[in-house]
Amino acid sequence: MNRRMLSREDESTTEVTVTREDQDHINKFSTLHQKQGLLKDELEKKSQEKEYIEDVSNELELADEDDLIPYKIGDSFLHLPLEEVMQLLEANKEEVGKEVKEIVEKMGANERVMSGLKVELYSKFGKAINLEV
Amino acid sequence: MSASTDPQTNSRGIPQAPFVDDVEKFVDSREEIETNLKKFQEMIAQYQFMEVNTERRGAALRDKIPDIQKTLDTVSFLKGRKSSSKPFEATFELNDTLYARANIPATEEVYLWLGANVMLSYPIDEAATLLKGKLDAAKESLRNCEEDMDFLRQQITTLEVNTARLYNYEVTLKRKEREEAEREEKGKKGGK
Repeated sequence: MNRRMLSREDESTTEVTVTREDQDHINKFSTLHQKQGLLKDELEKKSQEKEYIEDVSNELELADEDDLIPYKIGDSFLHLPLEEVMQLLEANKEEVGKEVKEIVEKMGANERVMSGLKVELYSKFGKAINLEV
Repeated sequence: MSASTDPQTNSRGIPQAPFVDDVEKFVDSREEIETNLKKFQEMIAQYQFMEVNTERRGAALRDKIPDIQKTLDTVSFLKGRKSSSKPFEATFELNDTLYARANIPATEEVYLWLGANVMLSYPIDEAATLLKGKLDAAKESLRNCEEDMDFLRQQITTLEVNTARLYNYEVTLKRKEREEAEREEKGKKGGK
């Protein structure tokens, strides 16, 4: 983050009164901003998981039909026939896909609220506020 | 000081921080600035204390939720198998890094570790319901925890902004005083 000192001229423009409402908006922005970071991490993790599941599914295409596949549920590996493992993986993939979609939607909604707040705050405080990262 | 008697709280009773609307009206004299700054510092410390506690509670829940989820996954799997009676083989964790094999026949009941050295047998359906309830409750608490964290951070920000504005106000006052003093000084010299 680059901080800059306010010059005397800037200082005079900072004397806009901050109302409780403005403060609430600033707080909201900061909360959302922080949340976006967390969501981004989560999204990365979930996308990675989805990728893994897809890799495994592709890998299992090559497996022998009669083989038993150790499939991990909880802390144990259950030795199951290929067909059943494929079904479980498919269900798992759907679940993770849904979670990924939810996160993306949430991030989009947050983004919209944030840009709204940004416009509002910049128009009131101008140079006196810095909302960029 | 009406600001400090703000009775508003969030949904779990954490009080809202006071907000300084107009610095010039907030303090009557220079001396009051110092005491108010100190008061804000104290409040920040209190909020930070709550923040640490809430964070810890959240971390414990974040640990607990995957555990419950795992157990629920296993129980759900067993539940789905009920009809097919063919036993399957499992490699399960006997201890850290030590795995053993077991044959699992179709089962009607599972044993849940309840803590405090108690393990109880449940019919599968009941176990699933119990675990689902626990999982939902844990998720709900975590949501509350996160909400509280957001709220606490917002109060800290508000107080920090209060501090900054009050401090800036003091700086402005000081500068004005100095400038006035200088002007007087000049006036005296000019008069000679």
